[in-house]
Amino acid sequence: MLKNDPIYAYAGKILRVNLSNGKVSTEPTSRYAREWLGASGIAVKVLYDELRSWVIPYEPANKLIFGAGALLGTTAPGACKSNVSTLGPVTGGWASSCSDSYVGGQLKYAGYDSIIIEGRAHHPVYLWVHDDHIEIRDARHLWGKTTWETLDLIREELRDPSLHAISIGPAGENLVRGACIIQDKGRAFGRCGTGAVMGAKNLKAIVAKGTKAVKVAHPKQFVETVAKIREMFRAVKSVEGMRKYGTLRVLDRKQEICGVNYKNFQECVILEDMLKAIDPRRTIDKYEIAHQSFPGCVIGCSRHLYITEGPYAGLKTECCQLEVLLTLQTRLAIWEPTFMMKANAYCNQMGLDVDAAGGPIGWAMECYQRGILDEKDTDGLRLNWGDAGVALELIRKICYREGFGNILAEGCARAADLIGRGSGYYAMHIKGQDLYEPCRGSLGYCLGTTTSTRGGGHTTGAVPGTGMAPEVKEKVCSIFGVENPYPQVYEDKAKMVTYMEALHRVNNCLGICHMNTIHGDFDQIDLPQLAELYAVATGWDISVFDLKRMAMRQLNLEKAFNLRHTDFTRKDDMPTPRDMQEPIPAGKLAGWKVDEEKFNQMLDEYYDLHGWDRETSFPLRKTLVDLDLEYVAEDLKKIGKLR
Amino acid sequence: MRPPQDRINMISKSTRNFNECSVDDVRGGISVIFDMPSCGGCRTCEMACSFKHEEAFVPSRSSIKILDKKDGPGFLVFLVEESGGQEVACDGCLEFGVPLCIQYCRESEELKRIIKEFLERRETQKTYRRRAT
Repeated sequence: MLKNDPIYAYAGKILRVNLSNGKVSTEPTSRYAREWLGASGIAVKVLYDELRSWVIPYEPANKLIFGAGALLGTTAPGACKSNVSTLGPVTGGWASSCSDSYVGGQLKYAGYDSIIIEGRAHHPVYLWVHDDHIEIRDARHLWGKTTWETLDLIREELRDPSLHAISIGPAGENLVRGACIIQDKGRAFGRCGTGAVMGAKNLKAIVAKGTKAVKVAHPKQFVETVAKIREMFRAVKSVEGMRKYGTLRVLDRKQEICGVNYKNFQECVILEDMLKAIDPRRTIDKYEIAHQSFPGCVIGCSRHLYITEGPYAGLKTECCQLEVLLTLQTRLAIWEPTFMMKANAYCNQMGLDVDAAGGPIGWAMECYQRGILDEKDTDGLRLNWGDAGVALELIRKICYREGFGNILAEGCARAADLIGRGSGYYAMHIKGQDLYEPCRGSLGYCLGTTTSTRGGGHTTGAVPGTGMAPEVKEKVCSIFGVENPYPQVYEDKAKMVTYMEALHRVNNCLGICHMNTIHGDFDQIDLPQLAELYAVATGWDISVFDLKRMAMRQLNLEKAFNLRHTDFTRKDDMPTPRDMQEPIPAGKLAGWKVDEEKFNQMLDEYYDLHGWDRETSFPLRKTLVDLDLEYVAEDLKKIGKLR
Repeated sequence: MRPPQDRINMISKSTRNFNECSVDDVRGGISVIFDMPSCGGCRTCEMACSFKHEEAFVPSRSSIKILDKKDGPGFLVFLVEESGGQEVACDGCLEFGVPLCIQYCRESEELKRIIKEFLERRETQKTYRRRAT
């Protein structure tokens, strides 16, 4: 496109802020938008092109990119997600995490699609973006504060109680490997340790407020398209349950399909008595005080709770989602039903990924159970399953890198490496990042998780719907172009994962929440609707094929980024030893485990579909040339990672 | 620009069905504030309203604004009654069957009541002014 052509949907500028010298500059979003879509797509292009191979995560030469989804600031359904990407400390490679974020929308109204943070501030600072006014403000008085305190203090300081911020807590400041970035007081850019990179840059928070306009190319058609898509949701059966309980509504279903993490994946179901005791629907019904929604979302899945009794009486917090229940409550076998709210709130305040809490603590408790660790290792703490007090104390120690917490702060993979004594088997991780996802029992979910370029995670390729109700089979086959969608069958899963990789990336780039799409329910938004929305918003001709191709370009660039910065090969795309060696002990799928030979065949098929070498997982030259990434092929050839 | 919270601090409350308050806006417009305990704070209504005025998404020009409360569930709904300065008055979206803000609201029943009360109040004010002149 020509330099002076107007750009629609996007704000139009990318902001660069160098914290080392205070220099602020802008460049046009049009430089990237057509090829890389937005948010995480723009970020991978910038990071791949601008980071040298010798850059490491915590040094000033690393860059952290906060990007608003391309459709943020409009009423596009579910358009509320922003992205943070960087070279991450957990895997040592591609680090990318999304969250609902008001800051992203405000950034667009201020005139920017992304902020590229470079360098390192001399002392703690926060960034204030208010239309054309960009200020790097002193944050020494905020350093050490929780994310909740930080937001309140910033609102007071800038005299605006409606301001939104993303910030880090003590975990990020102390470079805890799995530290995250928190949006306001809830919602997290959870995975990959982006909070630690922000802490290494002495950047406490980013605050944005804008009064400018976001325009669309075809206003009338845009409104009609949005209305048509919103109308689709009236027929979606799961919306009511999502509105009431969010993803916590599916605990029963997870129990049925052996998808519950109990005692660090030793079991895949919990006792029926425990299921009744911790039923999150009862907790929500009892303590709900208010709703919480994000811009454009057709569903509105969250709420605020006020816990009035029990050990955490007095706590007011946003409700958590299913991930917290499984990664902290059931993984650590804790029966107090309000524990997950307390743990979630605490992790939010401290800026710690809930999986970077549950993962190492689960590993440690299992090691304690098996006599690999004792009180001499654990600062005198008895790491008994079900002890909520110990779990919270360990979270605190992790955030301050105190004593045994200093080892756990590295994540379970590195903690096991430090301790040795055969503890590595019990460290459940993918590419060094603590694993939340139960991989036995659902092969599309498993494959999408193990092959994820950011190290585990179920939102960049994993096939949702870990069960498969018969009535949706036809629909699912039609969406993915397969004949056998059942989760326990190896056939066709590689193809399904490839489709989800595209959908998830397009969602991340446009800023559409996965839970408004087929990720949440197969009757919801899919690639055709996303293409239509994007086309009427931008005025650019775009098809589903175009979106898929752009997503594959991003995936290959993420892959190349990993190959340059890490030594990942095929072995790092495999499930954990536990998932391949231990059958599910009890429940409907008792006896089931991932068959290593069949998984390898499925992985071969996955690599073939992507045009990657079966033995090493390295991209083939032809694949990169076909995607107009010839320069990437040359880079990989120089380091011996091209096939 | 004075932040909205200062305006709220200036008001004198009159109680009717909602905590409805009338404020002389410092920039020349007049606005009314309602309490909406069921509001989830998504602010999609602001985007939709601004789109009607500007054919672009610019919430700073919306006739409806959602404000954080210091305490209690939900949010405050701030409706511009008379245009002035930067503020654009709410006209109830007469050209649509249903006001845009309600079309996009998840808690549309409560917002419907607020808009209805607001529009009735505005009609009453107009009648008083006509009689006075």
